[in-house]
Amino acid sequence: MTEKGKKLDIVQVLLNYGLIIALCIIIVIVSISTENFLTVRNIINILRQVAPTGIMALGVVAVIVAGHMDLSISSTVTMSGVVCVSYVKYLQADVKGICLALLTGAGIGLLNGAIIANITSKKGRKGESFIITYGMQAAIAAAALLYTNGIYMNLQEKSLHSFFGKGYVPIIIFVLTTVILEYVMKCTPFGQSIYYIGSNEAAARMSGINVKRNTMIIFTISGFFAAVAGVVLTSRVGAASSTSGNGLELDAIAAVVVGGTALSGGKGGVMKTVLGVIVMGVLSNALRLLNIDTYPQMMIRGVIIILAVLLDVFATQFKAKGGAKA
Amino acid sequence: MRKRTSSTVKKMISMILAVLMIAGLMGCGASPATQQNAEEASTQETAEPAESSAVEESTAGSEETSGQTKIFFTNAILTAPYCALQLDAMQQYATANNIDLQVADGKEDAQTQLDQIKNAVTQGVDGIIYFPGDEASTIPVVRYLDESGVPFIVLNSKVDESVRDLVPSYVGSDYEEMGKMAGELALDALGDEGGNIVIINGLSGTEVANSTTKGFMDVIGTNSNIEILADQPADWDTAKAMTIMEDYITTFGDKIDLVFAVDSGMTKGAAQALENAGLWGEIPVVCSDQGQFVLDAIANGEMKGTAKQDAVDEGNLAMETIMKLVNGEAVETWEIVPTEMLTVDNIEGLKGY
Repeated sequence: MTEKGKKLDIVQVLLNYGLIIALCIIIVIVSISTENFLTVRNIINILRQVAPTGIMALGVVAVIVAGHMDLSISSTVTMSGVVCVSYVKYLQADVKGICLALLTGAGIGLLNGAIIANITSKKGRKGESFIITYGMQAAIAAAALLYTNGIYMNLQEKSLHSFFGKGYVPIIIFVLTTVILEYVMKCTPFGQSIYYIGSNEAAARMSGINVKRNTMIIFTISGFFAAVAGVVLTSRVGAASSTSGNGLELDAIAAVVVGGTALSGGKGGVMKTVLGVIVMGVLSNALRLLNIDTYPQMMIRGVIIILAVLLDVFATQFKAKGGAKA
Repeated sequence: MRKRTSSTVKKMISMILAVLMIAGLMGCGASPATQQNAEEASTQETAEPAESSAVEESTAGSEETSGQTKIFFTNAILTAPYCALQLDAMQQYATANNIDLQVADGKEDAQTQLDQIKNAVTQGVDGIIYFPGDEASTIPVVRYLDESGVPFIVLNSKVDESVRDLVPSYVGSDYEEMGKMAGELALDALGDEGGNIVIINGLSGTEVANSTTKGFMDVIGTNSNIEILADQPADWDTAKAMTIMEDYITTFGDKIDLVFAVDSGMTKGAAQALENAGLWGEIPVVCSDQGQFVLDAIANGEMKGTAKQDAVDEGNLAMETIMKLVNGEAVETWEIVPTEMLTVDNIEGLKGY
């Protein structure tokens, strides 16, 4: 192998595994500066903290790979949370509450999917999903306000519902959803079709994929996962309010993109997203453990997101170049 | 052709099903919360007739209200639980004092509120209570109120600094004072030997967060043995507060002697994290507002106290102040809603939000 070839390899490794390397660097630096970072308790804490956003990110990654966007997931988390907690608190009907919450989420997702799939099939106006789900976000947020009348619902009693946020349960749910989605996206024809739809919808349609139906299913998955996140989140904090999901959609989407899934669609995946979720979670935890002031903290988080996207873009470009030479 | 028709039908069915599903869920889901919120709902119901009666009165010019003072009240966030409590108190005050109180929901929109106020002025009211939304959009509303010549007050939140001089009277809480109450609770809990405090703060840059923290710090500063270990914002969010508290426990462990969470929702988050770590009840938590979680915790003996921020008091003070203005009596430019230390001895009958 020539000198140049070796150099190319190193660069390629750096670019391909950049995020994992960055994660390791963060872990090493923080472990040296603070003694409590690399402890079992803190690691479990981090996993518990990222579980709700992580589950949301898993739902939305399917949407993003298909070349769409779902901003409504934050309101879905809120709505499913208040539906669930209202049943738990006032009627002691945990099972009913949780089932209804999940159905609500899937329903909101299906509604998104139905609208977007029909628009996309007409003249392929794909970008509309961004603004349609934004509208849905506002509408569902208002519905949650109407439903609760703005009341803060605090749960005091232990119940079946509180089990989902305690101990290892949120982590197990996160792992389970990861495994299921990874299987669906990698090993089923439906999962493959998501990638085809994302990279070239017209071609996907011509090759016989039912784009409309699959788009609807993808959004339903996203809504359903957001509802699971809503149940886990409300169980974890033992309360629900009409604002509890606010802002979480961007945390989830940022984790997806940091993991290396392209917003243009057709590229990315479940395991990458899990890595993105963990990087963002470890980073937030590290910044808090180092007790860095608020504004620098926000700035560092912003810069890391931008760097992660740049890294991914360079890696893709580099690979394309290398492929051309070979 | 046939294929197209069937796909259109399918499409429509799927859309209808989706809509029905949501509608159905919301319909049947509405029951439990609605039951419990019957009180709040009834407040709103009473609010609406007041609004419509205002219109009737202006057209009919009925004689029965001729002796009454007409007060118009527009609230940007009428549906918030705090405001529901407040409105209830104001309506009771109006009934008891033979005042015709007309209420309008400002729907968080300054333009809506401006239109409502213009209508009220045209119809002829004796006084106006203006509960604004965000600061910046208050400018045209205050300008119009000033030009109209109708006596008015601003309720709950301050208006933009550029027009503050035009406001005859502002009725609202003194957040700095409330922060001081939390500070005194902390001083009491820690004693002379002092200790280490972690703070879970509200959204950075807001008046409530800044003023409350300032008041708290001023009082804490009197004991040089007290140290602030960390102060991070949880943006009034329960889940964020819980995450921050978990990380505080990881970082500082048993060095933490006291937690200050600025509002009730964040106190809940801190409590949940402490409870998971088996520390709820061990490490004292202080707070500076009158949310339902904090009231319950005080009643259970889990918390020592908090600062009073009573929606009922604020509503009553607003009514008193506007009546004074209407009757030409002197008022303060800032009518401060009284706050006091709430403990297990004086929370009986108070309403949280």
